Amino acid sequence: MPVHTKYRVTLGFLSAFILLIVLGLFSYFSISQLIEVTEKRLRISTIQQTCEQILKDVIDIETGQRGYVLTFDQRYLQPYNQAISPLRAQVALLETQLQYSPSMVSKAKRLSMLIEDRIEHAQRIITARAEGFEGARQLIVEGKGMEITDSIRYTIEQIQQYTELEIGQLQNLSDTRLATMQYTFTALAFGMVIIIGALFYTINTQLKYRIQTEAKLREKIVEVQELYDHAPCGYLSVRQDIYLSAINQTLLNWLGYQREEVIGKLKFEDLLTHQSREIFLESFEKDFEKYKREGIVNGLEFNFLRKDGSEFPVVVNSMAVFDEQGQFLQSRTTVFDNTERVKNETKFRSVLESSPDAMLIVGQQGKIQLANHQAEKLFGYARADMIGQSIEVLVPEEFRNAHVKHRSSFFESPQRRPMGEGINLMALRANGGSFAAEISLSPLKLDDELLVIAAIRDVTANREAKEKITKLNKELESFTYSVSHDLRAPLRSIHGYAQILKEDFVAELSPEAIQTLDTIIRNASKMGTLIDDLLEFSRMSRREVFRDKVNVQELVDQVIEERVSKDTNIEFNCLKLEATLGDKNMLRQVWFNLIDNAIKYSGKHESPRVEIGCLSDSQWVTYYVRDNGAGFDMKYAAKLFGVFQRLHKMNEFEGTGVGLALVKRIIDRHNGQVWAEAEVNKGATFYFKLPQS
Amino acid sequence: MNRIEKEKVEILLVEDNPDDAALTIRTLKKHNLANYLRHLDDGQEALDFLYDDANATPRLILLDLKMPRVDGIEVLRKIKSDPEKRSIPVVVLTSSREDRDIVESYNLGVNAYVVKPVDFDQFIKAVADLGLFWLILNQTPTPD
Repeated sequence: MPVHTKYRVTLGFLSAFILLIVLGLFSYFSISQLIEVTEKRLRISTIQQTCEQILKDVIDIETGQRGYVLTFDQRYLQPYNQAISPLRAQVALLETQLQYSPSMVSKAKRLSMLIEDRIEHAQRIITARAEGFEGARQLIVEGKGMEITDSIRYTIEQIQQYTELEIGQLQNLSDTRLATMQYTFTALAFGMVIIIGALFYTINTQLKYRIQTEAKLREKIVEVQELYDHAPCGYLSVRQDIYLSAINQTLLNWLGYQREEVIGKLKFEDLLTHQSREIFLESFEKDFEKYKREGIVNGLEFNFLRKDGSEFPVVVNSMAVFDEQGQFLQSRTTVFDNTERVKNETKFRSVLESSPDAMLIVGQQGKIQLANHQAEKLFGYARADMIGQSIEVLVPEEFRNAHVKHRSSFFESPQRRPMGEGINLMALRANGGSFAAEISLSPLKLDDELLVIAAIRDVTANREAKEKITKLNKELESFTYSVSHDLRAPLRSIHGYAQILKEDFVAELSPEAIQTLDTIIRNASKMGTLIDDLLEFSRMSRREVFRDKVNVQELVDQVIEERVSKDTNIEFNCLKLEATLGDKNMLRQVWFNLIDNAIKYSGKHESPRVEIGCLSDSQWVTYYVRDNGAGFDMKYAAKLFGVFQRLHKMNEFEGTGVGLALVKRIIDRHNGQVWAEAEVNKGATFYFKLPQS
Repeated sequence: MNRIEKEKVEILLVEDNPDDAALTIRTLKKHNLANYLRHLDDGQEALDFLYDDANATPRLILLDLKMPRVDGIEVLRKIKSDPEKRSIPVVVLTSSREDRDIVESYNLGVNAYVVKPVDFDQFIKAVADLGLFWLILNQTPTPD
């Protein structure tokens, strides 16, 4: 629109100007022509006057000659004599006046001849009068004079007719010219008015638009200024003389200064703390040249000094502004309050420092970037000696090559690796000694750089203890094995020989002796069961837990079928049971013991009832076995799952006190939980839950 | 117990515990199965018995596992890796119910694995059943 308008205005002015010139030229030529016409008319009227004068003079001559002839009085000759020379002059004048028209010039010449003839004729008459009246009368009667005079009159009339015609023509011409001039002038003037009107309109519109735009611009400037002043970061500009030339309100608020205390009065370095200023000024010349050359500098960290003397950390980004000649004008600098980050960094560092483990941060190239105090203590290096070193310095030589491979594969697919996973690792101290280490790795993505945080723990003691435990476990295993074998054999002998004694010598034994033998037999049998249960318990504790999908429904159905045939009067209510993950054989033992218990403890009820069911959520599946039997007092619930713990008397319910301990051991080994709810004589419910994954 | 001729031995009982051996023999006798029984005290004796000139092939071997000198597993391995003796049914009769013993025995080709019950009644029943099954009901391939 403005460009378009500009062309329109120029074009308008140009056409107005051209029109004005045309108008001027036209006026000039029109007036010149009019003047010419007028001059011509003037000349023609002069010719007419001359003609009339000539005619008058000719009449004067005739009159004088006639008067003299009649009167012979010399006085009549006076007008005659006086007229001759002016007449001649007039004729000559006429000839020159008619010079422009050749036909008229010949008429003038003929007139001149006629007039000379008339003068001569008059002279002859006058001369003849002097000799007598008759001669003169004779000459007059001849009529030659009248004839000449008629010719003169006729010629003058011709000339006059010609001039009349000419005047008529001139009049027409002048009328036409005037009319044309009037129309043209009006048209041109009208055109001018239109163009000037259009120009006025355009300029006016343009002006209005410009005023509106300026108002908008002023609003924008105010808006930008407000944005500048109240931005969440500080802005400042520094001129070539290093004094501040602009600063925003945010930064002023941070610093506690008024604008007028700063602009043109403080240098950038005056905003810095003593320490920051020294760092800033130390390499200022070099840095400033580089800044002017590259036009930008980012991420400078300083501490700013407030007016009240307190300080705060900032990050500064700056852009150089140049003039058209490429001369540095001023900086345009953004200032970010870095307090939070520095605080977080301090926090991070103190977390790092307070960690009980040695912590290292390692980059993709394997260079140590950060180490904490524990790392110094553990490896025996000063922190400064570790940073920048390859991490392999801390790995015993025989593992170094493998470690480089591990490292690159870790960075290819970085995953958190918790403590204690994987193989037995070894680490190397500064003094050359090595130690068993457990290392956790956490990938850390920082500014597009992938780092790894490694926590290292000296587990020499742990590993030794573990080895000891393994050894002890092995010993225990062989111990149980011998118990299994060695303890059962003599027991069997006791049982067997007592039985033989009873069978083979029944006639020779007193009833008390037989009763005693029965007691021996019963106790040996019970001890056998006890040993078997104990061995089963230790076997379950040591066995590896296989985790497969277990169809619990099928398992429970089998157990019930196996167990129920003997106790037909028990009412079983088995709800739908979900499958789970676990060791099938172990879980069979759990179900067997729980169902066996339920049957056993509800056996004395007149209508024993056992309900089996399950509940599940996304994390756990919980199974339960409920009976309406003897139950137990909940204050003993804590003792329920201990080995050899029994809540009932031996003569009430049989049992070794191992069954529930075994259940708990198996559920523990599945990372599950087992518990019970009961009331004396109202029944008990045993729950166990297993993780879904 | 009078010694019977080697080639007539039907049951070979390898058991280091004399009490267990006595109870076993007594039970078998009661069922009239111990007429051609030979009791040996350990694995070495068993191997000597099986691999001397007479080249004996009993109809059933009852084998204890934990024995001095050569143990039952070793005897079992030897018998079952020998094409000539492989067809002799071997029943492990032991106090051990350790998984590894059971698994290894079956891997080596044992014909049955019986844990000796402590209860004498059960023990009698188990031994009697074994004798009846392996000597009377079970069909073994006729030796060449």
